[in-house]
Amino acid sequence: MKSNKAFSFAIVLVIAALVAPTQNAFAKDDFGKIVHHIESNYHVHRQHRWVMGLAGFTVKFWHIGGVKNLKGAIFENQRFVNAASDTRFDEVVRAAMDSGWQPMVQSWDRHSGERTYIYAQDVSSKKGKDLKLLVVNLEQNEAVVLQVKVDPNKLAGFIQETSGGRSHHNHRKSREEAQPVNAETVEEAAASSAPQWDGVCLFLQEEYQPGREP
Amino acid sequence: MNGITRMLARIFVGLLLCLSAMRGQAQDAKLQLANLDKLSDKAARVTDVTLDGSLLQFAVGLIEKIGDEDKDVEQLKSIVKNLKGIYIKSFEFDEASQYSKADVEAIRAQLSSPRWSRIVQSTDKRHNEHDEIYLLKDHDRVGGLVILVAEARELTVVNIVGDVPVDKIAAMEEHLVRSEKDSGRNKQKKESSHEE
Repeated sequence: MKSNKAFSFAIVLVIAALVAPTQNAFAKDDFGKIVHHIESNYHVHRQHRWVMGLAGFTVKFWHIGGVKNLKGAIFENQRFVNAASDTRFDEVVRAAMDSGWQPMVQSWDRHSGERTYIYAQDVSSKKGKDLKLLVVNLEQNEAVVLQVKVDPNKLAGFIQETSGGRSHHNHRKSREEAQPVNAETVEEAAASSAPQWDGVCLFLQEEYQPGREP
Repeated sequence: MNGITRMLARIFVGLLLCLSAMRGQAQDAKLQLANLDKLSDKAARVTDVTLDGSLLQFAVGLIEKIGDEDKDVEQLKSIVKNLKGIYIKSFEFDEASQYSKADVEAIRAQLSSPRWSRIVQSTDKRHNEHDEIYLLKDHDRVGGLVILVAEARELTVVNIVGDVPVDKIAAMEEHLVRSEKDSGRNKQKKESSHEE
């Protein structure tokens, strides 16, 4: 009998030891809290869950663009009834400030119930400081909750790498090149094609003439 | 011994004064806007932006990494380089007179020091609109900027802390307005050519 009591006491202790850190971890999971509030309050379901999960799993191993962690919940084409009067939502998001989040942008529209929150947090890592961002957007028929942890230096490097050699002017030029040519220009191009040219150039760029109106 | 102690004490006090003056400059430029938070309950639309410290450095760092070839980016870089904080509070109301004169006066009181100078003041009594722009002078540079928009159904305060190169902002604004006009003209031309 005594051994039975001791055994059950030991089990209770083990369960308590297992549950206590889990509860603590959940207490710090602001992303989870916000998503849970949306799901339970508006009776909506997350979409593209597998895609977001896969993306999160991928960036854990390959830090693409300096992204080290990604959690996302997307709710599309679902009705968020009485979102305008949901004051609890504001409380849930603001509670994130207790875990060190700094509010960057907070926007709220009373009529439509649209809310946008962007919170940020510095996190020290082995190689310096990382930046955590929490983005929450709630609209009448969609909501997005996104939490991302990035290495600012790597992200900056990624941006530099991707934007390098592709300036605004180049974009403009490529856009102009991609514009469809009208029939007149095509005819003109065909007529002015040089005799040694084997084919017909269909995309002749019209030269700019100051006095001439297009 | 006595003389040395006195000299050291003087140096220490001098250093303290210098430090407090430097600290004071940044504190002067940042307004206390917490008194406006109570308006959130009455407002139909609330926007609150706080960008300072490491977050601003992060944003500046990102902008600095973007290619130099674009003139807009280059100008933007020089504008944000020395900024220390950007704070915006905006409230839009459904009905007029939802905020009191005391709310606005509490902001104006912080701008009453001689270091702040009002460079723009626009009043429209018919529509009950009152817009002001203040600059914080820091010798020959600008240490901060405040834009105060007090309209019948809107109250907006924009507070920028740090060295704000006003000439560059003006140049960039001019450039952006010109490019916007150009794009508008191109759009009109396109539409008229389609009609033909």
